[in-house]
Amino acid sequence: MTKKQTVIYQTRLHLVLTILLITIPFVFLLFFAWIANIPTAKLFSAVFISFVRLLAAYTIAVVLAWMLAVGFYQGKRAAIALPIFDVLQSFPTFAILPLAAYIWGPSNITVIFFLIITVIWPILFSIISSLKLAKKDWEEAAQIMGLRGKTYLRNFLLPLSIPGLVTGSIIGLGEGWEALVATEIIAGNPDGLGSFFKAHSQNVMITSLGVFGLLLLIFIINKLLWLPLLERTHNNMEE
Amino acid sequence: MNKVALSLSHVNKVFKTDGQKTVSVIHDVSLDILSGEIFVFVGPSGSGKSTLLRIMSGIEKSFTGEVKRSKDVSPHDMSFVFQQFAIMPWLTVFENVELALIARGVKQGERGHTVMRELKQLGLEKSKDSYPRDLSGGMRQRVGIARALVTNPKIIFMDEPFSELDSFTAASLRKELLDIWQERRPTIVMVTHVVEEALELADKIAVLTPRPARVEKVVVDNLPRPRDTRSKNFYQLEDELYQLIKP
Repeated sequence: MTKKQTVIYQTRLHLVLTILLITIPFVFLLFFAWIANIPTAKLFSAVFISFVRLLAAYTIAVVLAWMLAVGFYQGKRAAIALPIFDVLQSFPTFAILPLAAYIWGPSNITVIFFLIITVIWPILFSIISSLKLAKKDWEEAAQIMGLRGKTYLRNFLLPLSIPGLVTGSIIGLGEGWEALVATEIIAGNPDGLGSFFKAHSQNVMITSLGVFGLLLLIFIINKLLWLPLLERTHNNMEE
Repeated sequence: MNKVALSLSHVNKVFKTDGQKTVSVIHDVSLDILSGEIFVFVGPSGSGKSTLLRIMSGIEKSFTGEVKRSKDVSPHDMSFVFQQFAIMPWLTVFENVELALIARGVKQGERGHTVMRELKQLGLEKSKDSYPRDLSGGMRQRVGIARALVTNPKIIFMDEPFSELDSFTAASLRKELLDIWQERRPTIVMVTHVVEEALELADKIAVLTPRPARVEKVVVDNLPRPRDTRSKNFYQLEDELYQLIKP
């Protein structure tokens, strides 16, 4: 029988590979700065600023998506809200980017707002799908036990949401990275990865290496964080 | 004489089908269930037994008629054992049982020993950190029963609790349930389609008709406990029930 215990590293090789994966992006950035003759601090700060913007947008999107999913996943409210969410997610967000940039300028708010409305939909729909997959028996058990209010949210709806939250995050952040760079370029932010790519738009080598570096970072985050989480959360729902 | 724990008066339930036609599933059920007795509903599959149980337990709220609980039985004094266990797959055995206490607002410091007491009673203490996916059907239903018992309920509703288990496991769990009942004397309201199971456990057996469910007859089973399932009286009562049940 499986005991409940936290085993993060099965073998020493696993630990070594994990540390190696964590250091690769940093080594790559140093190499990149050296080969492209860019100040290292500038490159690191571009990556860091963009990463923090995405993280901020993602955090807000997760909280909003969860609240919307829990509030509207079933009953009459779902019949009204789900078609609205569906239309909103198809909304051509880039069409309002110039307007957002006009109102807020090339600021963090513009980028974060834009990222939120990009990232939120896959997370929202995946959580809704997770909640809808809850067995009727579980709902009835929660009901007769008397789970309600905060206890119901924390002990029933939250754990039920997690598989959808993880799946939605993987898709949402994939779209988020894409939108991040585009938004920073279009809005004209003076810092971040968008500004970096814009500044070196004439240089094929730097652009290619930059894109490669970004993909490497995304791959490593997925490998170390999202894929293990995906497996674990879905295992947790196995009966 | 025991007082009435649960009283049903002219309970009716209709379902609306997709074509907006109404189908009657429960028709005019009236009966009293006494405190501390094991009351079993038997009837053919699809007769509406589970729906009736959900109405009595308060899970199903859409019906006509009246279900009255004794004044000393609050909704917190009731629990439910499900046919397919309905234990949460993301929680360990311990956490599943503890959840019933969390729902009742029992403080963290008081929960541990109460949960462990029930786990010991049902032979689950060694599996307390296991997840449901690692347990056999019998063990899962033990968790379901432990969760139902941990709040020390006055009424326990059981929806075909042994039908997903092999016959050996079901027999041993029935015996354990009887031991617990004799020790604590909760009211047990159970539905089953297995006549022998009803005869082994029940004080009273309500025979339901095929859909819509009506009470054909309430048979009193006062065979002495522990019941000899191979005795002449047992077989006589079994014959009587089989004649009453219409497929």
